[in-house]
Amino acid sequence: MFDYLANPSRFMRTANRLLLPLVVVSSICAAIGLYLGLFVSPADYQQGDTVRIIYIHVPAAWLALFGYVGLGLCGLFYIVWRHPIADIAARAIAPVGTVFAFLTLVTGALWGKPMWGAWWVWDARLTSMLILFFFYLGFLALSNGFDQAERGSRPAALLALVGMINVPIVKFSVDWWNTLHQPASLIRRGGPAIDSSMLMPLVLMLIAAHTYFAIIVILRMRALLAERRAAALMLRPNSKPFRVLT
Amino acid sequence: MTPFFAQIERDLMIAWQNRQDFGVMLIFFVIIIVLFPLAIGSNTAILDPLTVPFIWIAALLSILAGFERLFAQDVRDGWLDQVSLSQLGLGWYALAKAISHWLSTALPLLIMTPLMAVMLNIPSSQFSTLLVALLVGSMGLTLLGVIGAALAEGARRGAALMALLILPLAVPILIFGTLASQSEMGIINPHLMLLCAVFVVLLAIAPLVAASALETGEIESGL
Repeated sequence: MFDYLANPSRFMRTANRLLLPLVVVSSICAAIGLYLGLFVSPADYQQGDTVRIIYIHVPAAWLALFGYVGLGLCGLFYIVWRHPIADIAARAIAPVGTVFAFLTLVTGALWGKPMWGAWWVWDARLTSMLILFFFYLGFLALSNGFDQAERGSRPAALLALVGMINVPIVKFSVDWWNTLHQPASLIRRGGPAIDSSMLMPLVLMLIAAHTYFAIIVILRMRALLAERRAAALMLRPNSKPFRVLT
Repeated sequence: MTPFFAQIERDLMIAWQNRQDFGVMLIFFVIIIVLFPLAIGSNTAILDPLTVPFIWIAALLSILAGFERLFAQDVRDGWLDQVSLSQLGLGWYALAKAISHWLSTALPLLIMTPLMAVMLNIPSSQFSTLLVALLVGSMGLTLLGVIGAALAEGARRGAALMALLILPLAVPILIFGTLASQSEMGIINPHLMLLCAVFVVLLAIAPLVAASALETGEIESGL
Protein backbone atom coordinates (compact mmCIF):
# COMPACT_ATOMS: atom_id res chain seq x y z
CA MET A 1 0.00 0.00 0.00
CA PHE A 2 2.65 2.49 1.13
CA ASP A 3 5.02 1.29 -1.57
CA TYR A 4 2.33 1.72 -4.19
CA LEU A 5 1.47 5.25 -3.06
CA ALA A 6 5.10 6.29 -2.61
CA ASN A 7 5.30 7.06 -6.31
CA PRO A 8 4.15 10.68 -6.74
CA SER A 9 2.22 10.16 -9.96
CA ARG A 10 0.44 7.04 -8.64
CA PHE A 11 -0.31 8.92 -5.43
CA MET A 12 -1.82 11.80 -7.34
CA ARG A 13 -3.84 9.45 -9.58
CA THR A 14 -5.36 7.85 -6.49
CA ALA A 15 -5.97 11.23 -4.87
CA ASN A 16 -7.58 12.60 -8.02
CA ARG A 17 -9.95 9.66 -8.14
CA LEU A 18 -11.04 10.56 -4.59
CA LEU A 19 -11.54 14.21 -5.48
CA LEU A 20 -15.00 14.04 -7.07
CA PRO A 21 -16.65 11.91 -4.33
CA LEU A 22 -15.12 14.22 -1.73
CA VAL A 23 -16.52 17.31 -3.44
CA VAL A 24 -19.98 15.70 -3.63
CA VAL A 25 -19.98 14.61 0.02
CA SER A 26 -18.57 17.91 1.22
CA SER A 27 -21.05 20.13 -0.61
CA ILE A 28 -24.08 18.01 0.31
CA CYS A 29 -23.10 17.85 3.99
CA ALA A 30 -22.28 21.56 4.10
CA ALA A 31 -25.60 22.50 2.47
CA ILE A 32 -27.74 20.33 4.76
CA GLY A 33 -25.60 21.10 7.82
CA LEU A 34 -25.73 24.86 7.33
CA TYR A 35 -29.47 24.79 6.65
CA LEU A 36 -30.17 22.67 9.76
CA GLY A 37 -27.72 24.65 11.85
CA LEU A 38 -28.83 28.12 10.90
CA PHE A 39 -32.60 27.65 10.40
CA VAL A 40 -33.92 24.38 11.83
CA SER A 41 -31.96 23.74 15.04
CA PRO A 42 -33.36 25.54 18.08
CA ALA A 43 -31.65 28.46 19.80
CA ASP A 44 -30.03 27.55 23.07
CA TYR A 45 -32.08 28.37 26.18
CA GLN A 46 -29.15 30.29 27.69
CA GLN A 47 -27.04 31.35 24.75
CA GLY A 48 -29.76 32.23 22.26
CA ASP A 49 -28.73 32.35 18.62
CA THR A 50 -25.02 32.78 19.38
CA VAL A 51 -24.90 29.01 19.93
CA ARG A 52 -24.94 28.65 16.13
CA ILE A 53 -21.29 29.75 16.02
CA ILE A 54 -20.52 26.23 17.26
CA TYR A 55 -21.26 24.83 13.77
CA ILE A 56 -18.19 26.66 12.46
CA HIS A 57 -16.09 26.84 15.62
CA VAL A 58 -16.00 23.13 16.48
CA PRO A 59 -15.17 21.84 12.95
CA ALA A 60 -12.49 24.52 12.60
CA ALA A 61 -10.95 23.60 15.95
CA TRP A 62 -10.96 19.89 15.12
CA LEU A 63 -9.28 20.54 11.79
CA ALA A 64 -6.68 22.84 13.29
CA LEU A 65 -5.65 20.03 15.63
CA PHE A 66 -6.10 17.27 13.06
CA GLY A 67 -4.06 19.28 10.56
CA TYR A 68 -1.23 19.63 13.04
CA VAL A 69 -1.26 15.88 13.69
CA GLY A 70 -1.02 15.44 9.93
CA LEU A 71 1.86 17.88 9.84
CA GLY A 72 3.67 15.96 12.59
CA LEU A 73 3.11 12.62 10.82
CA CYS A 74 4.43 14.09 7.57
CA GLY A 75 7.42 15.36 9.52
CA LEU A 76 8.05 11.89 10.89
CA PHE A 77 7.75 10.30 7.44
CA TYR A 78 10.05 12.93 5.99
CA ILE A 79 12.72 12.54 8.67
CA VAL A 80 12.67 8.73 8.68
CA TRP A 81 12.16 7.88 4.99
CA ARG A 82 13.11 11.23 3.45
CA HIS A 83 10.14 10.88 1.18
CA PRO A 84 9.37 13.95 -0.98
CA ILE A 85 5.61 13.24 -0.89
CA ALA A 86 5.65 13.76 2.89
CA ASP A 87 7.27 17.15 2.41
CA ILE A 88 4.75 18.12 -0.28
CA ALA A 89 1.87 16.99 1.95
CA ALA A 90 3.20 18.98 4.92
CA ARG A 91 3.56 22.10 2.81
CA ALA A 92 0.05 21.56 1.48
CA ILE A 93 -1.45 21.06 4.94
CA ALA A 94 0.28 23.90 6.80
CA PRO A 95 -1.49 26.98 5.36
CA VAL A 96 -4.89 25.22 5.50
CA GLY A 97 -4.36 24.30 9.15
CA THR A 98 -3.21 27.85 9.89
CA VAL A 99 -6.43 29.26 8.46
CA PHE A 100 -8.54 26.82 10.50
CA ALA A 101 -6.62 27.68 13.69
CA PHE A 102 -7.21 31.36 12.96
CA LEU A 103 -10.92 30.72 12.32
CA THR A 104 -11.15 28.87 15.62
CA LEU A 105 -9.66 31.81 17.49
CA VAL A 106 -11.83 34.39 15.70
CA THR A 107 -15.13 32.49 16.03
CA GLY A 108 -14.25 31.77 19.66
CA ALA A 109 -13.69 35.47 20.30
CA LEU A 110 -16.96 36.38 18.58
CA TRP A 111 -18.75 33.89 20.81
CA GLY A 112 -16.83 34.89 23.92
CA LYS A 113 -17.75 38.57 23.81
CA PRO A 114 -21.52 38.10 24.31
CA MET A 115 -21.18 34.95 26.48
CA TRP A 116 -18.19 35.57 28.71
CA GLY A 117 -18.15 39.35 28.35
CA ALA A 118 -14.63 39.36 26.90
CA TRP A 119 -13.13 38.76 23.48
CA TRP A 120 -10.28 36.88 25.03
CA VAL A 121 -9.56 35.25 28.37
CA TRP A 122 -6.24 33.67 29.38
CA ASP A 123 -7.72 30.25 29.74
CA ALA A 124 -5.72 27.05 29.15
CA ARG A 125 -7.67 25.99 26.05
CA LEU A 126 -7.49 29.41 24.41
CA THR A 127 -3.84 29.92 25.19
CA SER A 128 -2.78 26.49 23.97
CA MET A 129 -4.77 27.03 20.76
CA LEU A 130 -3.03 30.36 20.25
CA ILE A 131 0.31 28.61 20.67
CA LEU A 132 -0.76 26.00 18.13
CA PHE A 133 -1.45 28.88 15.74
CA PHE A 134 2.07 30.22 16.39
CA PHE A 135 3.52 26.77 15.68
CA TYR A 136 1.73 26.78 12.34
CA LEU A 137 3.16 30.22 11.58
CA GLY A 138 6.62 29.03 12.62
CA PHE A 139 6.32 26.02 10.31
CA LEU A 140 5.27 28.26 7.40
CA ALA A 141 8.09 30.72 8.05
CA LEU A 142 10.72 28.01 8.45
CA SER A 143 9.70 25.89 5.47
CA ASN A 144 9.79 28.98 3.22
CA GLY A 145 12.67 30.69 5.00
CA PHE A 146 15.51 29.41 2.82
CA ASP A 147 16.70 30.51 -0.57
CA GLN A 148 16.45 26.94 -1.83
CA ALA A 149 12.91 25.84 -0.97
CA GLU A 150 13.86 22.19 -0.33
CA ARG A 151 16.50 23.22 2.18
CA GLY A 152 13.71 24.24 4.60
CA SER A 153 11.94 20.87 4.49
CA ARG A 154 14.00 19.07 7.08
CA PRO A 155 14.12 21.84 9.73
CA ALA A 156 10.39 22.40 9.25
CA ALA A 157 9.70 18.68 9.64
CA LEU A 158 11.71 18.67 12.88
CA LEU A 159 9.80 21.70 14.12
CA ALA A 160 6.48 19.99 13.32
CA LEU A 161 7.60 16.96 15.34
CA VAL A 162 8.70 19.06 18.33
CA GLY A 163 5.44 21.00 18.15
CA MET A 164 3.46 17.77 18.50
CA ILE A 165 4.01 18.17 22.25
CA ASN A 166 1.34 20.86 22.15
CA VAL A 167 -1.38 18.71 20.54
CA PRO A 168 -2.35 16.68 23.63
CA ILE A 169 -2.10 19.87 25.70
CA VAL A 170 -4.72 21.56 23.50
CA LYS A 171 -6.93 18.47 23.47
CA PHE A 172 -6.85 17.75 27.18
CA SER A 173 -6.42 21.29 28.54
CA VAL A 174 -10.13 21.40 29.36
CA ASP A 175 -9.82 18.21 31.42
CA TRP A 176 -6.49 18.91 33.10
CA TRP A 177 -7.19 22.45 34.19
CA ASN A 178 -10.40 23.90 35.49
CA THR A 179 -11.04 26.19 32.55
CA LEU A 180 -13.66 28.68 31.48
CA HIS A 181 -13.88 26.90 28.14
CA GLN A 182 -16.43 24.08 28.37
CA PRO A 183 -15.14 20.50 28.48
CA ALA A 184 -15.44 18.07 25.58
CA SER A 185 -19.07 17.33 24.78
CA LEU A 186 -18.88 15.21 21.63
CA ILE A 187 -16.36 12.45 22.16
CA ARG A 188 -16.55 11.57 25.82
CA ARG A 189 -17.51 8.70 28.08
CA GLY A 190 -21.29 8.26 28.11
CA GLY A 191 -21.87 9.58 24.60
CA PRO A 192 -22.34 13.13 23.29
CA ALA A 193 -23.82 15.64 25.71
CA ILE A 194 -25.65 17.58 23.00
CA ASP A 195 -29.29 17.28 22.02
CA SER A 196 -29.81 15.50 18.69
CA SER A 197 -31.35 18.62 17.11
CA MET A 198 -27.98 20.33 17.51
CA LEU A 199 -25.83 17.22 17.19
CA MET A 200 -27.08 16.41 13.69
CA PRO A 201 -26.02 19.69 12.01
CA LEU A 202 -22.76 19.65 13.98
CA VAL A 203 -21.84 16.17 12.76
CA LEU A 204 -22.77 17.13 9.19
CA MET A 205 -20.61 20.24 9.41
CA LEU A 206 -17.75 18.15 10.81
CA ILE A 207 -17.97 15.77 7.84
CA ALA A 208 -18.20 18.72 5.44
CA ALA A 209 -15.18 20.43 6.99
CA HIS A 210 -13.03 17.29 6.97
CA THR A 211 -13.81 16.48 3.35
CA TYR A 212 -13.25 20.13 2.44
CA PHE A 213 -9.86 19.94 4.15
CA ALA A 214 -8.99 16.83 2.13
CA ILE A 215 -10.07 18.50 -1.13
CA ILE A 216 -7.97 21.61 -0.53
CA VAL A 217 -4.95 19.56 0.52
CA ILE A 218 -5.18 17.37 -2.60
CA LEU A 219 -5.50 20.45 -4.84
CA ARG A 220 -2.57 22.13 -3.13
CA MET A 221 -0.44 18.99 -3.39
CA ARG A 222 -1.24 18.78 -7.08
CA ALA A 223 -0.13 22.38 -7.56
CA LEU A 224 3.05 21.92 -5.51
CA LEU A 225 4.01 18.75 -7.41
CA ALA A 226 3.43 20.48 -10.73
CA GLU A 227 5.51 23.43 -9.52
CA ARG A 228 8.41 21.18 -8.56
CA ARG A 229 8.22 19.33 -11.83
CA ALA A 230 8.16 22.58 -13.75
CA ALA A 231 11.17 23.83 -11.81
CA ALA A 232 13.05 20.58 -12.49
CA LEU A 233 12.23 20.75 -16.19
CA MET A 234 13.36 24.36 -16.40
CA LEU A 235 16.78 23.30 -15.18
CA ARG A 236 17.21 20.78 -17.99
CA PRO A 237 18.67 22.36 -21.15
CA ASN A 238 16.96 20.08 -23.67
CA SER A 239 13.90 19.19 -21.72
CA LYS A 240 11.26 16.86 -23.13
CA PRO A 241 7.88 18.38 -23.95
CA PHE A 242 6.27 19.63 -20.79
CA ARG A 243 3.82 17.19 -19.25
CA VAL A 244 1.94 18.41 -16.20
CA LEU A 245 1.84 15.84 -13.46
CA THR A 246 -1.76 15.42 -12.43
CA MET B 1 41.08 15.62 26.85
CA THR B 2 38.05 14.20 25.12
CA PRO B 3 36.72 15.95 22.01
CA PHE B 4 33.60 16.94 23.94
CA PHE B 5 35.52 19.02 26.48
CA ALA B 6 37.86 20.28 23.79
CA GLN B 7 34.84 21.65 21.95
CA ILE B 8 33.59 23.38 25.12
CA GLU B 9 37.02 24.83 25.79
CA ARG B 10 37.33 26.10 22.24
CA ASP B 11 33.96 27.84 22.37
CA LEU B 12 34.72 29.38 25.75
CA MET B 13 38.00 30.71 24.41
CA ILE B 14 36.22 32.23 21.43
CA ALA B 15 33.63 33.73 23.77
CA TRP B 16 36.41 35.20 25.92
CA GLN B 17 38.05 36.75 22.87
CA ASN B 18 34.74 38.40 21.99
CA ARG B 19 33.94 39.32 25.57
CA GLN B 20 32.47 42.70 24.70
CA ASP B 21 29.59 40.69 23.15
CA PHE B 22 28.31 39.40 26.44
CA GLY B 23 28.84 42.83 27.95
CA VAL B 24 26.31 44.02 25.38
CA MET B 25 23.97 41.20 26.36
CA LEU B 26 24.21 42.04 30.05
CA ILE B 27 23.44 45.69 29.34
CA PHE B 28 20.48 44.53 27.23
CA PHE B 29 19.22 42.50 30.22
CA VAL B 30 19.61 45.44 32.60
CA ILE B 31 17.98 47.91 30.23
CA ILE B 32 14.89 45.75 29.68
CA ILE B 33 14.44 45.51 33.47
CA VAL B 34 14.89 49.26 33.86
CA LEU B 35 12.34 49.95 31.12
CA PHE B 36 9.50 48.17 32.93
CA PRO B 37 9.33 50.50 35.97
CA LEU B 38 9.77 53.46 33.66
CA ALA B 39 6.74 52.35 31.66
CA ILE B 40 4.59 51.41 34.64
CA GLY B 41 5.52 54.17 37.06
CA SER B 42 7.06 54.06 40.49
CA ASN B 43 3.90 53.12 42.41
CA THR B 44 5.19 50.23 44.51
CA ALA B 45 1.71 48.76 45.01
CA ILE B 46 1.51 48.09 41.27
CA LEU B 47 5.19 47.47 40.71
CA ASP B 48 6.07 44.99 43.47
CA PRO B 49 3.94 42.02 42.34
CA LEU B 50 5.37 42.40 38.81
CA THR B 51 9.08 42.45 39.55
CA VAL B 52 9.76 38.70 39.32
CA PRO B 53 7.93 38.44 35.97
CA PHE B 54 10.05 41.40 34.73
CA ILE B 55 13.23 39.56 35.54
CA TRP B 56 11.94 36.45 33.78
CA ILE B 57 10.90 38.30 30.63
CA ALA B 58 14.21 40.14 30.54
CA ALA B 59 16.16 36.89 31.05
CA LEU B 60 14.11 35.10 28.39
CA LEU B 61 14.64 37.85 25.81
CA SER B 62 18.32 38.38 26.46
CA ILE B 63 19.14 34.65 26.53
CA LEU B 64 17.28 33.97 23.29
CA ALA B 65 18.67 37.11 21.64
CA GLY B 66 22.17 35.67 21.95
CA PHE B 67 21.50 32.64 19.78
CA GLU B 68 21.18 33.97 16.30
CA ARG B 69 24.73 33.29 15.15
CA LEU B 70 25.43 30.23 17.31
CA PHE B 71 26.33 27.90 14.44
CA ALA B 72 26.92 30.45 11.66
CA GLN B 73 30.67 30.82 12.16
CA ASP B 74 31.19 27.06 12.46
CA VAL B 75 29.27 26.44 9.24
CA ARG B 76 31.17 29.15 7.37
CA ASP B 77 34.70 28.19 8.34
CA GLY B 78 34.16 24.47 7.88
CA TRP B 79 34.38 23.55 11.57
CA LEU B 80 30.99 21.85 11.40
CA ASP B 81 32.16 19.59 8.57
CA GLN B 82 35.22 18.65 10.62
CA VAL B 83 33.00 17.89 13.61
CA SER B 84 30.67 15.67 11.61
CA LEU B 85 33.67 13.71 10.33
CA SER B 86 35.19 13.44 13.80
CA GLN B 87 34.35 11.00 16.55
CA LEU B 88 32.50 13.73 18.46
CA GLY B 89 29.20 13.48 16.57
CA LEU B 90 26.76 16.29 15.98
CA GLY B 91 24.59 15.54 19.02
CA TRP B 92 27.46 15.89 21.47
CA TYR B 93 28.69 18.88 19.53
CA ALA B 94 25.27 20.55 20.01
CA LEU B 95 25.33 19.73 23.73
CA ALA B 96 28.85 21.14 24.06
CA LYS B 97 27.67 24.29 22.29
CA ALA B 98 24.77 24.57 24.74
CA ILE B 99 27.06 24.21 27.76
CA SER B 100 29.63 26.74 26.57
CA HIS B 101 26.91 29.15 25.53
CA TRP B 102 25.20 28.85 28.90
CA LEU B 103 28.49 29.43 30.72
CA SER B 104 29.38 32.47 28.66
CA THR B 105 25.98 34.19 28.48
CA ALA B 106 23.43 32.92 31.00
CA LEU B 107 25.83 32.60 33.92
CA PRO B 108 26.88 36.30 33.92
CA LEU B 109 23.19 37.12 33.73
CA LEU B 110 22.47 34.99 36.80
CA ILE B 111 25.30 36.70 38.65
CA MET B 112 23.77 40.04 37.72
CA THR B 113 20.29 39.01 38.89
CA PRO B 114 20.68 39.68 42.67
CA LEU B 115 21.69 43.24 41.87
CA MET B 116 18.60 43.67 39.73
CA ALA B 117 16.49 42.07 42.45
CA VAL B 118 17.78 44.65 44.94
CA MET B 119 16.95 47.46 42.54
CA LEU B 120 13.44 46.07 42.11
CA ASN B 121 12.86 45.78 45.85
CA ILE B 122 12.42 42.02 45.86
CA PRO B 123 12.65 40.76 49.49
CA SER B 124 16.02 39.15 50.11
CA SER B 125 14.34 36.03 51.52
CA GLN B 126 13.10 35.35 48.00
CA PHE B 127 16.50 35.67 46.28
CA SER B 128 17.49 32.02 46.58
CA THR B 129 14.12 30.79 45.27
CA LEU B 130 14.36 33.16 42.32
CA LEU B 131 17.95 32.24 41.55
CA VAL B 132 17.40 28.48 41.66
CA ALA B 133 14.36 28.74 39.39
CA LEU B 134 16.25 31.05 37.06
CA LEU B 135 19.21 28.66 37.03
CA VAL B 136 17.06 25.74 35.82
CA GLY B 137 15.01 27.98 33.53
CA SER B 138 18.06 29.52 31.87
CA MET B 139 19.47 26.05 31.15
CA GLY B 140 16.15 25.06 29.57
CA LEU B 141 16.04 28.27 27.52
CA THR B 142 19.60 27.67 26.37
CA LEU B 143 18.64 24.21 25.07
CA LEU B 144 15.63 25.71 23.29
CA GLY B 145 17.92 28.32 21.78
CA VAL B 146 20.17 25.57 20.45
CA ILE B 147 17.17 23.92 18.78
CA GLY B 148 16.09 27.24 17.27
CA ALA B 149 19.57 28.20 16.09
CA ALA B 150 20.06 24.79 14.46
CA LEU B 151 16.66 24.85 12.73
CA ALA B 152 17.06 28.41 11.46
CA GLU B 153 20.73 28.05 10.46
CA GLY B 154 21.17 29.32 6.92
CA ALA B 155 17.69 30.82 6.69
CA ARG B 156 16.90 34.33 5.59
CA ARG B 157 16.00 36.68 8.48
CA GLY B 158 17.38 34.17 10.96
CA ALA B 159 16.82 36.24 14.11
CA ALA B 160 13.14 37.00 13.59
CA LEU B 161 12.53 33.44 12.46
CA MET B 162 14.22 32.06 15.56
CA ALA B 163 12.03 34.17 17.82
CA LEU B 164 8.94 32.86 16.06
CA LEU B 165 10.09 29.24 16.47
CA ILE B 166 11.33 29.42 20.03
CA LEU B 167 8.98 31.76 21.89
CA PRO B 168 5.96 29.41 21.68
CA LEU B 169 8.15 26.58 22.99
CA ALA B 170 9.39 28.78 25.83
CA VAL B 171 5.89 29.21 27.26
CA PRO B 172 6.05 26.27 29.74
CA ILE B 173 9.42 27.46 31.04
CA LEU B 174 8.06 30.98 31.52
CA ILE B 175 4.90 29.78 33.29
CA PHE B 176 6.55 27.29 35.64
CA GLY B 177 9.58 29.54 36.12
CA THR B 178 7.64 32.57 37.30
CA LEU B 179 5.43 30.40 39.53
CA ALA B 180 8.47 28.64 41.02
CA SER B 181 10.25 31.95 41.68
CA GLN B 182 7.31 33.35 43.60
CA SER B 183 6.38 30.19 45.47
CA GLU B 184 5.72 30.51 49.18
CA MET B 185 6.82 26.92 49.71
CA GLY B 186 10.54 27.60 49.65
CA ILE B 187 13.24 26.74 47.14
CA ILE B 188 12.10 23.21 46.34
CA ASN B 189 8.47 23.61 45.32
CA PRO B 190 6.18 21.74 42.91
CA HIS B 191 6.56 24.36 40.19
CA LEU B 192 10.33 24.04 40.34
CA MET B 193 9.96 20.30 39.89
CA LEU B 194 7.80 20.82 36.80
CA LEU B 195 10.40 23.28 35.54
CA CYS B 196 13.08 20.62 36.09
CA ALA B 197 10.92 18.10 34.21
CA VAL B 198 10.71 20.47 31.23
CA PHE B 199 14.47 20.93 31.40
CA VAL B 200 15.13 17.17 31.46
CA VAL B 201 12.86 16.60 28.44
CA LEU B 202 14.70 19.36 26.58
CA LEU B 203 18.05 17.91 27.59
CA ALA B 204 17.02 14.63 25.99
CA ILE B 205 15.60 15.99 22.73
CA ALA B 206 17.52 19.21 22.03
CA PRO B 207 20.88 17.65 21.02
CA LEU B 208 19.08 15.13 18.79
CA VAL B 209 16.90 17.72 17.07
CA ALA B 210 19.84 20.09 16.63
CA ALA B 211 22.04 17.32 15.24
CA SER B 212 19.34 16.25 12.80
CA ALA B 213 18.81 19.84 11.63
CA LEU B 214 22.54 20.52 11.27
CA GLU B 215 22.95 17.40 9.17
CA THR B 216 21.03 19.14 6.35
CA GLY B 217 23.33 22.09 6.46
CA GLU B 218 26.27 19.78 6.27
CA ILE B 219 24.85 17.92 3.27
CA GLU B 220 24.06 21.18 1.49
CA SER B 221 27.48 22.71 2.03
CA GLY B 222 29.09 19.46 0.93
CA LEU B 223 27.39 19.54 -2.46
